[in-house]
Amino acid sequence: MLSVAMVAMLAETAAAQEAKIDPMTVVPDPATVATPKLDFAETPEDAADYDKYFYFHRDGTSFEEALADLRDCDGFARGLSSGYRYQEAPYPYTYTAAGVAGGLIANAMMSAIFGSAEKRRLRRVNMRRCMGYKDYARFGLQKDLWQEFNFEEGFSAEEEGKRQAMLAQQAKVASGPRPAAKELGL
Amino acid sequence: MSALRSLAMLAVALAAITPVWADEPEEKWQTRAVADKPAPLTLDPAKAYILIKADSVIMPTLMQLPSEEQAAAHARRRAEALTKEHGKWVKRHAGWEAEMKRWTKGMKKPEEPVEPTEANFGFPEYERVHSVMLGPQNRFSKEGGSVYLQEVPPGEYLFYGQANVCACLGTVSFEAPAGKIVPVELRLSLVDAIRAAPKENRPKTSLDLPAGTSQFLLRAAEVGDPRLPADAIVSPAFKPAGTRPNWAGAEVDRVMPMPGIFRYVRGQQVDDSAPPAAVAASADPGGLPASGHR
Repeated sequence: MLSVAMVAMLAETAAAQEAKIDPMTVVPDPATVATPKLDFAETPEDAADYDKYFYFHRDGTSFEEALADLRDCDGFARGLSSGYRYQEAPYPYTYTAAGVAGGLIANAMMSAIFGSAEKRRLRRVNMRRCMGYKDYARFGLQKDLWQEFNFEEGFSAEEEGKRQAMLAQQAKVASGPRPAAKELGL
Repeated sequence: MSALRSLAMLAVALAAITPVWADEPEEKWQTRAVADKPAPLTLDPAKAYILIKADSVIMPTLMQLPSEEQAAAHARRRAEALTKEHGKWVKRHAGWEAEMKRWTKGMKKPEEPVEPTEANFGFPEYERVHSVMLGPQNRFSKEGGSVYLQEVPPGEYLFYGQANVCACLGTVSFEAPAGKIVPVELRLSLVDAIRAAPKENRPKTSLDLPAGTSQFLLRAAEVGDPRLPADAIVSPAFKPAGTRPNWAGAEVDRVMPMPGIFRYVRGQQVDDSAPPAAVAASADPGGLPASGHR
């Protein structure tokens, strides 16, 4: 089993390609994943930002299950730009105007209009909803602590190795001891 | 919803009418919005008709799912496209090797082109390129809200989403047989909740909906339009269709569970219409197929 540091490092090296190690699927040894700090003295300002800064937890869940769930939801939240996909090829079909690819295809335009903040908001909404539907509870966190093992995503995507290392830390929290903090709901 | 957001959504709708793939006329897939005219509707026996009814103006996206033959043809086209693309890569890679021979320290290092492979080759899924967005204009009727009627090739159709929210976390499909009209009602939970609640308690966003409520409720629509031939109307037989990729980077949600058809267990659909043994097997979240976003 690989350590989380190795996963992050390998993702950026040519050796990863040679060894066919995919950081999006490899499961690190949870013992090598640092447990993030979660305890803090809450202020009203912290609580006002819990819609942005939060973490998930579900009782009776293994590290592997939590990581799979977080990756699943991360995939939905990041949309089409996920992974190391080769470019989309032109599609050799002919369509009528209304039948091209559906109205939702132009969501990139929505982002272009509303900007990076809208993309960051969408990511938060999608992670909350997806993990909530998987029965994970949500707990608030101080911004500084949150930034240690989470990322926001606007127009530029988080580098894959770092992303997976942070998701592993989130999985460690999600599968760890039940937090004493108040549950926030979806 | 702000005026700016409404404008953006209109822009989204208009953008969807720009052809993207129009190189080779190998297949024609056409749909048509049926216009609101006083005369009784004459159905084309070779086409299917999907009617979507809602309280308000909507922009649902439907996608046709492939039959076995269509899926096989699609796989062949993907393989052909991959072969073609690989041929281009061979030339690009040879060019890169030549550049590397000329490269010395201090110069910008040429980037090696990625080899397209079976695993990494991005090719649009069948349903993604056999999709249609209905509305917001071209309503078939405005009686009691908005009614859209779309003439489509017969087949199985998936509800993908509405406006800028996809039902990627769980949706349904239904058959649209040739020469028939399938009436579907789409209820938007957020709109319903806003209408039902007193002003001070109205949900501000979809995250404020009551626990267990998602944004889309689908059910058979009641149709009483005398222009539609009554004997051609068939109730939609909904089937759980699992998760779908968030192709457009939209907000994700899911269709509300349907009693006797499906429910959700830890985010996964459980088919309640299947025989008991199959239900038991699929009730274990670990045993369910993985989500389809990769």
